[in-house]
Amino acid sequence: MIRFLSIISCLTLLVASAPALAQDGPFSPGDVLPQMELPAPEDPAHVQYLGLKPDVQTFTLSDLGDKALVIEIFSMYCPICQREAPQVNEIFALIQSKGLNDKIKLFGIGAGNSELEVRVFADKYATPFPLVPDPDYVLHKIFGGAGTPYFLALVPTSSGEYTVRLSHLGGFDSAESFLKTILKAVDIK
Amino acid sequence: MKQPRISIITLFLAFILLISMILQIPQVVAAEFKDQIYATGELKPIDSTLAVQVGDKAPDFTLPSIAGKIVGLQDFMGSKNIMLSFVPAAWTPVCSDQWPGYNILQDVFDEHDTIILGITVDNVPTLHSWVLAMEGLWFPVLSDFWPHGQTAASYGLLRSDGTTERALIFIDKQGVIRFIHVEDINIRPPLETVIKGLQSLQ
Repeated sequence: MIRFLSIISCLTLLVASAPALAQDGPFSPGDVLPQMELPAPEDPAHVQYLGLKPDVQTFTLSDLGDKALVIEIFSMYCPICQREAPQVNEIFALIQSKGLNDKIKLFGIGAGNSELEVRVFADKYATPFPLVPDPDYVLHKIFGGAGTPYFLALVPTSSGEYTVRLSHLGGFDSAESFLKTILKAVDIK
Repeated sequence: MKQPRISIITLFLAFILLISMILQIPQVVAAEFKDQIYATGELKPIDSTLAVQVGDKAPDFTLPSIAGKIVGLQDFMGSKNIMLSFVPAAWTPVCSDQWPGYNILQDVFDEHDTIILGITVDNVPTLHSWVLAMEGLWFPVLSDFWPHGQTAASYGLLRSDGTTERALIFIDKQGVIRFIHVEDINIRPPLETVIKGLQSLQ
């Protein structure tokens, strides 16, 4: 009986600590992203952009359909994210102008940022793509607790999971060249 | 005899896992900046006793700024409200992830006719390097290095290890304290608290 209780308590602790042990540092290409639940964007236009139902409160990546994804982990408090914000907006604009809107989607997660903090950042830089809050660092931990900005390019698998194709920590040279790298990584020509 | 041994091993494993979970302090620092930051670990949330309260006249001070000037409360009396932002120390995780956010809020502070005075107990050269790494700040950054922490102590914000609390003090144009917030040193004050403080000045 003692042995049984010992094993059960040990397993319980392992499960409880699983999120903390899941990812330590940035992902590598080939890694599969863990399942996660994200808050839906506030702006109905952004909800529509992601292809979600209008009244949805949360979503998972598999709700976004069979599309490649670019996710930026950012923070309102991060000077590099502030400096790069216009460039990331340009990446979004380039995706639209190249007619790739139905093939690849872009959104950001505000690590440690409340709804207000995300809104301030979005207003300051006129961010045209969805940004969602992560006030308690729950999503940030899933993404390995990396610094910011952190960019991931992902492709869906047949089982509804997402595989990392590009994992980029920090700033980038130019919107045009970084998008080229992203598109190559996710096999979009 | 074997069963109790397994139980002790399990308890040991459980202890190690619990410690590892407790040490997961959430924080995020800019990627290009992260390697330069000293990891402090989790600290006692608050380690001082406030010496001021809302409605008090703010204790006066003059301190050297990283711009080479001497800055004090009297410079702004009658013309600007003030938010004193005390942060514990330069080159530490949460502090390095607080003031850069205020950099994109200058228009919000302007709307409330308010200047920020950022204060730490670090010396001027250290603060100069730290602010450069943050890519600059629009508000004065002041050194409460010598006599060490004298200004922080006058507000009751000097911790027992010589650093300060992470605190926001809102002072109106007449020099009266209108709002005080002392945050857990391990956490950045939410923007909602800053807005609440600004609203107290109206």
